[in-house]
Amino acid sequence: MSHKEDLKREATGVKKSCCFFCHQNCGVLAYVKEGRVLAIEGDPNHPTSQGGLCARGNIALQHLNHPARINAPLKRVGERGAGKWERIPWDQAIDEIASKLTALKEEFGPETVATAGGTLRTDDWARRRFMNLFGSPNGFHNAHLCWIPTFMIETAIYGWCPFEIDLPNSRCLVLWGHNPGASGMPEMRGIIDLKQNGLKVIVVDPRFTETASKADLWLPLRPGSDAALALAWLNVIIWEGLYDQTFIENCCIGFDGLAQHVKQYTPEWAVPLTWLDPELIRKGARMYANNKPGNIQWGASVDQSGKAAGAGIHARALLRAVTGNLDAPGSDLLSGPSPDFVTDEEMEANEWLPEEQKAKQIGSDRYRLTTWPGYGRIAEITKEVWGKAPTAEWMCEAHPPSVFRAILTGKPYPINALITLATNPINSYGNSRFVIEALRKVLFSVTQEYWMTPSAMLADYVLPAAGALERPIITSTYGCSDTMIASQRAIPPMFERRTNYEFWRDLGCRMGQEDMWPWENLEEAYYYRIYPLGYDVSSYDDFVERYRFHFPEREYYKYGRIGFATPSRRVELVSSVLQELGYPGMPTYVGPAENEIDNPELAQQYPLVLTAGSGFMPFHHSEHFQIKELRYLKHEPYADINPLTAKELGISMGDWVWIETKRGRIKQRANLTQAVHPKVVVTQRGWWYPERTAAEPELGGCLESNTNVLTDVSDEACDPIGGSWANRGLLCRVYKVDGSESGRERAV
Amino acid sequence: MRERHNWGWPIACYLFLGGLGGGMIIVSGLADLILMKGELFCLGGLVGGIAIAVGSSLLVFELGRPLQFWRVFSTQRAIMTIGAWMLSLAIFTSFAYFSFWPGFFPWRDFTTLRHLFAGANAVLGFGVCLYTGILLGSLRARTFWNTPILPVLFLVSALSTGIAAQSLLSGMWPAGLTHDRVVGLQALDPVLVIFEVTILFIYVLMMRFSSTSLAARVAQRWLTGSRKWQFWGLVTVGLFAPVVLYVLHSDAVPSLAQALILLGGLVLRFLIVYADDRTELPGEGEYYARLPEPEAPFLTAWE
Amino acid sequence: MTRYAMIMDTRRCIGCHSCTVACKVNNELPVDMIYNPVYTEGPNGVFPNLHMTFYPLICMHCENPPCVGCCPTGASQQSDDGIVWVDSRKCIGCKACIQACPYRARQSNRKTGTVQKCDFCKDRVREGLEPFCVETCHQRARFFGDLADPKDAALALLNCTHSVQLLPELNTNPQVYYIISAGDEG
Repeated sequence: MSHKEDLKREATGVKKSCCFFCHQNCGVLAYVKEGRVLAIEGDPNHPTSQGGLCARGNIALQHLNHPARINAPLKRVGERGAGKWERIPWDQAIDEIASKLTALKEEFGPETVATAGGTLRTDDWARRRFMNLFGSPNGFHNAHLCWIPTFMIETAIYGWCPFEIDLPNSRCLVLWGHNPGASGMPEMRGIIDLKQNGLKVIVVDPRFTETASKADLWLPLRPGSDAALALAWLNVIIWEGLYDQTFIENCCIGFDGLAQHVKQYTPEWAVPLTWLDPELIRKGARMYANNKPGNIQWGASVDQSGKAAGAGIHARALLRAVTGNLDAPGSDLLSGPSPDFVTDEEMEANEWLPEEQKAKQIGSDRYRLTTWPGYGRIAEITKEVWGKAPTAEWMCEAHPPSVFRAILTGKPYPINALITLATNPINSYGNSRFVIEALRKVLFSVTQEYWMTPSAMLADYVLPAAGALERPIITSTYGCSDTMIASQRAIPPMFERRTNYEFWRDLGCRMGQEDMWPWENLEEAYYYRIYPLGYDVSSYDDFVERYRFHFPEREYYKYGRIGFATPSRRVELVSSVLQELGYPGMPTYVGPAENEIDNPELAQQYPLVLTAGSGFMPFHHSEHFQIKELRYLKHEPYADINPLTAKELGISMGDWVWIETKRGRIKQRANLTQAVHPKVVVTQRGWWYPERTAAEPELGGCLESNTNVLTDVSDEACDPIGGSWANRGLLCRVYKVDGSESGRERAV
Repeated sequence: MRERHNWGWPIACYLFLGGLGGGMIIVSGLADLILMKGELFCLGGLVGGIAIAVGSSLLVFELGRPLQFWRVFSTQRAIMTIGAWMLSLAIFTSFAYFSFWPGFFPWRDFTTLRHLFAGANAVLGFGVCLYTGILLGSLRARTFWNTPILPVLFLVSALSTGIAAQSLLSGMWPAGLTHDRVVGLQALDPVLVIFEVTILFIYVLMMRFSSTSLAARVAQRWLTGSRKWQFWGLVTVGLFAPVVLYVLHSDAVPSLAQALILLGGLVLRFLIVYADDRTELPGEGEYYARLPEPEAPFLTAWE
Repeated sequence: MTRYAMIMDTRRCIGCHSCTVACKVNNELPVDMIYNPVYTEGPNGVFPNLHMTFYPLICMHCENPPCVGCCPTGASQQSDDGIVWVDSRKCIGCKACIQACPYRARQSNRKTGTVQKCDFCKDRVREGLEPFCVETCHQRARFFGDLADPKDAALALLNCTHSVQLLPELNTNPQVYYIISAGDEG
């Protein structure tokens, strides 16, 4: 028998946990004994993963037991960033943080405290709950780069975001700026299964990815030109008569206006913008419109286009509407919030944040959709129709670059405290140098982390975080789906690690919020949330063990019963909500933040087009570079560059090259590949070097190969509607690293 | 990282020493049995046995688990097992054969027994010379080795180095034997070298024009690529030059020619051992090229 | 008589390397030892007309294994069910088997001095479990089965698709098959 089977036999219990290294949350069976996890394996009974585990899932124990994990609360001693820490008890840390925050609140108002998060990795409703009760509207995540602007624009148009793809009944799937082959393993399996049964797959991506290699049609557009492509598709579908007449007559308003508006956006018009052949554009549009029902799967890319993001999202969203691919079998379903269990929004205590505090949310004057103005309006409508609102912690956030700017400039008012959880801002937020300056300058900084990341190194307090095997988790698409999968913790947190929930609750209780935190731990809070479902369970763990998930009976055409959650109760092809907020009611073409047509002088200096931010196995954002089993497979960063371009620049396979934009430059190795257009360069994201010194000035090499050194967060580059900053479609230049260059890019 | 050489300098040296030693004991054995000139070549027979012994210990040194070397003496039908038995027996018989020549052993006059050992030396010597070429030639994965020409080349090279070494040593002990007696043997050497050059070129050119692109690439490497100095050096200095020197007939020359032949034999073995290329599978080269070196800091940063 | 084999469906494999990591972690291999790399062929062609295939490699457990006959100690052996494995107690590290293998399946462990390779997770499969690499694969791109069993699902899959072996000209008759298309596509 293999050693693993021996370990499994030695265990005294098996827990139904999950992996939390990405959003798929694949099921994990954890074999436990006396507070230790002896072995893990994929859970064959898990509804999405069915026993599979990717490279990241397989190293769960290496992550859990890694010697570099932070296992006790640390308090800074000496200079910020010097790496000298004093180990203190958790309660002392909470006391000191609480009194500091209270003092800052008294002097500057609660809005001076901001919190930063990353992608969905924890119970962010608890974060929002604390912040609402504290009185600050300045919580944020990388939400603007990841789905949130899409959610809000689509909800404005048709009353909820139709992210639930009814794939088994579908005939055509468009993966728009999405590469599940590198980021969503169970999702990819589903796609391949259906493809073998005749599903047509269209991939819109500048790069020939794993997913593109399996597709029926690949549209390699210029990075950041999604708005042009989507508008051209609308033009084709409407003006070739491929739209769904019935759906438009019965369920939409504004069709005539839209039709006239998109008349100018012909495929020929789109050619210089997208670099695609017009017949290819037509082919894609016709394939989607003629193979119904069909789906457009959301991808992060469009949200990351900066200035052009809103228009691109809006145009793409209208494609579903004109083809009637909404809430019908096989199309994109408007699940609505769950009526059955307690949603994230209902746990956030949003009603406790005073109106005058909402008005102080940083960025809400300029970026009105994904902040209180837009969220408040949309929540009002969805509550009328669905009965509940979308999650505020995500859909209603301060604008991150504006908060960092407030830290640095004191405008519109000073931000003097930053609490960072589940993110490594230097690697994951736009313009890393800008972020480092802000982290160095902010008066008071607290983080809860697994690792001493470069960002954590700059904090005043670093608290130890419990990971997936040490905490229960509810998976439900950012609190906006009506489905839910439940996982239990395998073991209590090791050492002095605690869950984020405990951090917020302990802090809240120390600051007068005790009444609002009746649930002592996550199991109690989760039991409260699932209780209304009516399952005969005595605890949350009971629910996990006996039921594991809640998938309500699917109801198509809900709009027949309740209408669409818009002011007119119809799909608004000309959006009144967006117009109310001062935005165009229809998508109007906007070029990417930097492009050769609108910025010809810049293009002289930076002749190539950069796209950055796509995921690749086996890493996830800035994670796992210290897990040697994973790092062994890809131990250095590689940027994709076409061989023709490389030849012109004298670059050979594997050469270290500088990739430079107006913001700065980074070093990655050149991967010569036909997968990209000769004018396109793709850098890998997330790179830092945990094996290097963590303290200043080295900071783990976080500026050497980190693609966010190149991205643009200026207000001019950000999407006016949603606030997304620009990762995709920037202008850059590439040149070989000269042998005489000094080895390391310092964090200066 | 390109697949690293699994067999390195110890194996190359062993191939040379084994072939050399095998050739030398063939000469000493046949000289005794057929030419009746055993005394002339008996020192060479001892040195041959020592060469085989040194070569074999290099083999053991090269093992992943040298202390377990005894396991090779199994009843497996592997070429390497047969080779191990032959090497061990050859070491024994070459020392045993030599023991008949110095005066102090009681069996020095048992000629028949001595002839038996001489015969055994000749047979085992052939075996030792041949088996390594057969072993390498049998490895289908190594395109440049996988040819029946290789054992022939090894045998001829082993014989020519063996004869060259025997010629060098003959007459040194016991002292007083004249130079004339070895002339016949010396005449054989350039003939063998010419054979060797021919076979070498047949080998390399057949590989160069093979339909297998890998074989052609390795041959190119020898003819015009990164190994051209070693290859052409071998051909000119280790093979052609000795023949020329022999033809010129001068007295001092034979020793130089013989030394060059020995050097050439060593270079040939090195060239071959490092030509262990395997057909790469699709995507294999790039995969391994991107893996880290063992000293990469992240591998040990958190020990 | 059992004959174990593995089938790689290249139509489904996306080169995520999960199998490589699952094998390494569950078999507790040294970090620099990889039993089952996944190679990327391509993208071949010229932008934008491209194609790309992923090849997961392991020991082929050949029907005619060149690595068994060359082993001088008998450490390298093949069981009746076709699994080729190494008894490390008998291995002396001569590396003849590494030289003999056309597929780069074997590696020398620098610490122990012996040779190691994939053994189809023989202790697991003989108890009816799947190899770690098969169990972990989300894409269901790997199938393990018994080709001597007429009811085996892997055999059925092999029969209805077009598959190839690697380096067939070397006559090793590898028992790892690569599906490259559905049977009717040719």
